[in-house]
Amino acid sequence: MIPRVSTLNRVFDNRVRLAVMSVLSVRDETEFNELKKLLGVTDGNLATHIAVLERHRYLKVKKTFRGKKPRTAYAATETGRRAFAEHVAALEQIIRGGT
Amino acid sequence: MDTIESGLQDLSEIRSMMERATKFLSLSGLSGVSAGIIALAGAWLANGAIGGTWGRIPPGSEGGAGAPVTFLVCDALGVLVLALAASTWFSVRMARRQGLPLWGPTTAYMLGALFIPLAAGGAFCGVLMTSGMYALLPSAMLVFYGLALLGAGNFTFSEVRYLGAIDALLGITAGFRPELGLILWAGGFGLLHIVYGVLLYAKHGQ
Repeated sequence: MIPRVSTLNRVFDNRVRLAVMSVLSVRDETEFNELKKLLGVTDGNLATHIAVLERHRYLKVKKTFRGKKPRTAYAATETGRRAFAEHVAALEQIIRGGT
Repeated sequence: MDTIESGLQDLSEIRSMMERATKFLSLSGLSGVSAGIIALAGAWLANGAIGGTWGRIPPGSEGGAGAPVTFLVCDALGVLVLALAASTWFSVRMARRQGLPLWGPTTAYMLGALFIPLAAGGAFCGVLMTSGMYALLPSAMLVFYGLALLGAGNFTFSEVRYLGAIDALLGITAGFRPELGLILWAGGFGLLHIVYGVLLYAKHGQ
């Protein structure tokens, strides 16, 4: 078997994007406000990074209504999960001195 | 090397975010300590009501001269309510200080895992009482509470699972030796909670 070489993903260079994917990778879906509190970031900052992840199709947005209040939740896509898992594998490789 | 350093940092960040996203991390050690003190006070009152011997809880005869059933039930419910109130208060305070959301899916998982077995245990205690088997109540409470903690421990600090296992074992012991029931109850709900609270406090703060 040829050992697979994982490479770091530039999308995850950013702390906020890394944290968002960490949360989404262990959750079905997470609301905007909860993400904001878990990460301790501002609305604008979080929205910007979520938009980047969405553009790469790493997460999908689910807009629904709870009563009259709009509710925005996010979930990782299959592509996003795979990309994130590869990034983590690459990080582990670096630490083991693989590269 | 710089890349190794930042790689390690990233990985530990990922791990901590995953933990925050799946576990209720605002369980304060002080919750355990206060619940333990309340339980000890409740056990002391119960002991007074059954004659101060720390012995077997006598079978009750409704309205008769047997165990003061109504008093013991009120005592147990009082301990439950006060302990829940105190632990909720300390957890709310801790969540605020940590800046973590108090109510979210993690809280719901944890509470579900805790209260479903606990409700079954409460119902089973009712069954025991209608059969007059009061001496087995400490055993049933410890076993069901232990199982509830074993489950809830998956959604909060994992040390809680050990507390659950010990309580369940104490409960089984109390089932075989009903004359030790009240003492084991005081140990499991009182002393152990205090010890665990102190340990949690030392390890996780607040």
